[in-house]
Amino acid sequence: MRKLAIVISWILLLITPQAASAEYGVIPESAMDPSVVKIDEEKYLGTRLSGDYILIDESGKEFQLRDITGRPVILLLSYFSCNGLCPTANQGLKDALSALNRLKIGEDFRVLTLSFDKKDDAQSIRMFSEMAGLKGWSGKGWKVAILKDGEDIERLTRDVGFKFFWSSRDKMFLHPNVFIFLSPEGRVVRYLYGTPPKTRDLELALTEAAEGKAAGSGIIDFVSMACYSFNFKEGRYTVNIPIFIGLGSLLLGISSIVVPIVVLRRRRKEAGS
Amino acid sequence: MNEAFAYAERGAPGQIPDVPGGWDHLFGEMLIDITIIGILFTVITVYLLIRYRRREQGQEGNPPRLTTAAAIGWAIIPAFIFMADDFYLAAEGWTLFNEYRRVPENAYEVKVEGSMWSWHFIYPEGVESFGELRVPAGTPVVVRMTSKDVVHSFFIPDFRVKQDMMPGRMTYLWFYPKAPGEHLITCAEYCGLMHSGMKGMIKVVSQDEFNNWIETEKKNNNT
Amino acid sequence: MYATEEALRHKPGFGQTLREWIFTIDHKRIGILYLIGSLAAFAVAGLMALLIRIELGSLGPTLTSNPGTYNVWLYFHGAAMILAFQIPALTGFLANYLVPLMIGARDMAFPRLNALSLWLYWAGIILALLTFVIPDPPDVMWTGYPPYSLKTGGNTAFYVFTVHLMGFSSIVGGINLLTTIFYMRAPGLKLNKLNIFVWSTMGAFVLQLVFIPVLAAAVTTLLFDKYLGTHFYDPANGGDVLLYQNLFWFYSHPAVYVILLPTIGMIFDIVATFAKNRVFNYNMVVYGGIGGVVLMSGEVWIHHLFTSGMPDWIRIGMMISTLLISIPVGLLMIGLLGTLYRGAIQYTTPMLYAVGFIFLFLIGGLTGIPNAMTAIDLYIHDTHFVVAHFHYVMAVATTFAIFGSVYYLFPKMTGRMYSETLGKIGFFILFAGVNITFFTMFIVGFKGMPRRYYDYQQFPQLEGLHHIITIGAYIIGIAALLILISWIHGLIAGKKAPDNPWGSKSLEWTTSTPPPPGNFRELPILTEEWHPYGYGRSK
Repeated sequence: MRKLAIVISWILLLITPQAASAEYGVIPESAMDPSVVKIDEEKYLGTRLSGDYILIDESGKEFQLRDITGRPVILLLSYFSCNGLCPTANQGLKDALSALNRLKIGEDFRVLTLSFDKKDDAQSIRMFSEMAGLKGWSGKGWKVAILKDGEDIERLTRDVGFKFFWSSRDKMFLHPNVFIFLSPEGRVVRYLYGTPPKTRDLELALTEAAEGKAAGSGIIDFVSMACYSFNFKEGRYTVNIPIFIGLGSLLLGISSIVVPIVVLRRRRKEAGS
Repeated sequence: MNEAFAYAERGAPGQIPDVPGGWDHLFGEMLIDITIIGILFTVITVYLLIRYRRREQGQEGNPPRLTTAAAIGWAIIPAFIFMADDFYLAAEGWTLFNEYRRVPENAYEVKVEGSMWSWHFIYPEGVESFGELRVPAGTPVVVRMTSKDVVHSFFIPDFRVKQDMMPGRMTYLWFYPKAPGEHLITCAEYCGLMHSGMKGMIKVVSQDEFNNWIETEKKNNNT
Repeated sequence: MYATEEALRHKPGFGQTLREWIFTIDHKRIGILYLIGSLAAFAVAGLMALLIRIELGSLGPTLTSNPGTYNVWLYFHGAAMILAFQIPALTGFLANYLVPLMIGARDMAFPRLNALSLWLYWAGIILALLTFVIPDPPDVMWTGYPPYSLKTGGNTAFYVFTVHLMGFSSIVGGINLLTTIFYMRAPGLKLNKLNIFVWSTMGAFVLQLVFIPVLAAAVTTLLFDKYLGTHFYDPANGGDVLLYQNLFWFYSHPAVYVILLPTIGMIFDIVATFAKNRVFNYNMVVYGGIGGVVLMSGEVWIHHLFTSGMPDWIRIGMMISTLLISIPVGLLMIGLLGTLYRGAIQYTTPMLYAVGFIFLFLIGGLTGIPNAMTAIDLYIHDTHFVVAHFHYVMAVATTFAIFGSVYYLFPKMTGRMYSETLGKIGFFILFAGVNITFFTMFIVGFKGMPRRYYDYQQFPQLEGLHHIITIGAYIIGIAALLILISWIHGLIAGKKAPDNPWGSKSLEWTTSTPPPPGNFRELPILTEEWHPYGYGRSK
C-alpha cells in the first residue's frame, strides 16, 4: 500500500514538475525516474493471467495465450516502433538464451514478446523481429505478437503490474525493462531486471517458473535453487551464502571424524611395516 | 508418474477429492496400525516382565545361545516387517498428499498476506478484507499466501489444512467449503507477542450471497 | 600426564575443599559437576514448564497478562531443557562418569580438555540463566527462526552465544571421549565387548562432531544478520528464510538422536544388570540399531518442514526416510525386550525407570508415525499433538533414563544407598504425572490446538482438557521434589553401599565404591571369557 502511494505521488510529481523541483530539487522535464514505473512485485507475484487473450503473430494468424502457456513462458513487453531499449532487450535475451544449454526453447519453455502499443500491427512485428535479429527463432518457440483487442493491453499490463507512459517530449514510451516469467498455468512467478540478462538468472527463473516440473531432474533444480535466491532489491539472483557456510561447516564436521581416522591408520601402518 | 497413481485411486480429474474426509480416514487407519503394534509390544513386554521376574536371590538369566543364523534372522526379519509397514503407510500417505497439493480446476483464488498479527485477503475482483475470508459454498478455494514480515502459518483446523507463509516466497493451500458455515483460521507458526491472538474466520456463504457481497464491496471501494 | 598422579595426592572422601572441586580434572568429579549443572537447569526449566502450564490451565490471562513474559518462559524451557539439561546430562554427566570406568581406563585421554568442556558448559548455563536478568530477554524459542528472531526486540545474541558455548563444550567433549574410547581401553577389551552405553555414546558424539558446526553456522549467520547488517535471511535482499530452517534442523534432528542414543544405551545397561542377562543379539543392537540410527539421522530433517513450503517431492522422499527410521529403532526395542527374555528381573528403582522408559518410548515412537506422514502432518504439525509426541519420545523418556541412571549410579557416586521406598514412590507418581499430562496433550493437539500459544480464545472447548494437563504438571512437580528428597535423603542418611550392590559384571562395578582417583587400584585384566553382560555362563 505504502509503495503504491509512493508511486502515485511520483506520478503526480511528474505531472507538476514545478512543484517537484521546489521540493526535491531540479528534476529535468524528461526525467525517466524508474521508480515511476516500478512494479510492486509483492502485490503482483502469483497473479494468474487469463488464457483467453487473443494474440496475432507476424503472419496475421490469431492464437490464444493459453496456446503457448502450458510450460514456462518468458513474457517480454515491448513496443515495436522502439529503436532503443526494446530491441536491445530482445537481442540480449536471445544472446543469453543461446548460451542456455540445459533448457531448450520450444520444448522446456517459450518466449513471448508482446507489444503494449496499440499502433503496432503485423507489419511492425516483422520489422521489429528483423531489427532484434529474431528471424531464426520464431519457429522455435519465440513468438512476437500483438494483442488483437487494444482494450486487452490495459487489462494484461494491469494484471502483471506493468506501467507505461507516453512521453510526448521524447517521443517514446516510458516503461520498465523487465522479463516476466510465467508458470505453465500462466501465473507470474518472477520479475527479472537487467539488460542483457544473465543466462544463469534466466535458467534459475525458468526453473522456478516450472514449479518443480522442469525438464531437468528435480534434484538439479533443487540444488541450483538452493544455491541462489532471488534478490528483490537488485532484481536478479544472488548467491545464497549461508548454504555454503553450512556446507563448509558440515565438511569441517565430517573431516573432524575422517581425518584422524585416516591419519592414525596410516601411522599405524607405517609403524607396522 | 505420481499423477497417474493418484488419479487411479480417486476418480477422474475434475472431481473434487474430499481431503478432510481422506485425512480422517487415514488418521483412523494410522491409529489402528499403531494401536496394534503398541498392544503387541505391550503384551509381550508385560508378559516378559512378569514371567521372568527374579524368583530367588542371586538368580541369573539363562537364555539359550543364539546361533548365527538366528541372530541374522532376528535382525533381518523384523527389519523387513517394519519396512513393509512403512511402505504400506507411505503409499497411503502419498495418495492423500497428492490430493492436498493438486488444486482442483477452476478453484476460486484468493490472495492472503500475513502480517503481525492479522490476515489480509485480496479477492480476484479487487475487493480486500481483513481477518474474515468470505467464500462461496460449493466452490473449491485456493489461497496463495505470502507474508509481509515474519513466518506465519495459515491453519484451518476444520479443513485439515495448514501451510506456512513466508516473506519473499509464495505458498498455497486449497480447501473445499461445501456448505455455508463458519470455520476458524488460526496461526500455527510462532510469530511473537500476539501469536495466539492471530486468528480469523472463514465465512462460507451461498454463491448468490457471495456475489452480492462482492458487488457491494466493489461499490464501497469505488466511492 | 594423566590425572592420576596429581589426583592421588588428594585424600579420597568428602574432605576436599571447594577449590579442588572447581579445578578438578578427574572425570568422575567432572561428571558429577555436569550432573549438578544439568539438574539445576532441569529445575529452572521445569519450573518454567509449570508456569507455562498454569498460564494455560484456564482461559485468559492467568499468571501474567503479558504474552511476552510467557514467550520468554517458553524459550527458556525449550532451550534449557535440550541444551543445558538433556544433552549435558547424557553426554556430559553419564558419558564422563561412566565411559572411562566401563572401558577400564584411569581417566579420559585429555583430562584438562575435559575440564575445559565443563567450564564452557557452566558458562553456557550462566549465560542461559541471564535470560532472567537482562532487560530484553530472548523470545525466539529454541529454534530461533528468522525473520522473527531478527525483528524481535529480544536479545537474540544471548540465544546464539548459549548455543555457541554448549556446542563448543560438546565438540571438545566429543573429541576427548572418542579418543578415550579408541585408545584407553583396558588390555583385552575388544570392541565387541564394549557396553552398549559406550557404543551409543560413540554414536552420539560422532553425530555431534559432524553436525554441530552446521548449527553453529546457522546461528552465527543469524547473529550477523541481526547485529552486523548482513542479509543472509532477508528476502528483500536476496536472503532465503527457509534456508535457516533447513540448516537448523539439519543439526537439530540428529540432535534428537544425540539424546536418544545414550538414553537407550543406558537403558540397555540397566536392563541387562537387573535382568542379569546378556544383551539380546548384541551385534544387531550395535550395528543395526545404533549404527542404523547414526547413518539415517542426517537424511530426515525435512519432516520438521512439512508445512514450510519445501518442494513436494522432497516432502514425499523425507516421509519415506523418516518412516524407515522405525527400522533401527525397532531393532533397538527388540533388543531390549530380548534382553528381558529368560532373565531374572529384579525390580529396583532404576529398573522401574527402565521399564517406564520402554512404555513411554513405545507411545512416543508410535505416535511419531502419524507425524512422519506428510499428509497427516499437514494437520497436526505445530499443534500440541507434536508437543505431546516429542515430550514422550525425547523429553520424558530421556528424563526417565537420566533419573534411572542417577539411581543406578547413586551407590557408586556417593558410596551410599538411596531409599528404595522413596525412590519407588517417586517413580510411580512421576509415571502417573507424565501420562496424565502428555497423553491429554495428544487429544488437545488432535483437536487442533497449536503450540506456543499464550491463550486459546479460539478453542474455549479445550479448557477442561488443559485443566487436566495442568494438574498433571503439578503431579510431575511433586514427583520431582520427592525424587530430589530421596537423593538428599540417600546422601545424608543412606546406608553405606557395597562395591557392587547390583551384582553387575560390567567393569564400573568391579572397582571400590566410590572409585578412587585413577579409578582402579590395579587396572583390570580381562580374560577371554569376560563380557560386561556375561551372566549365567559360569553355571
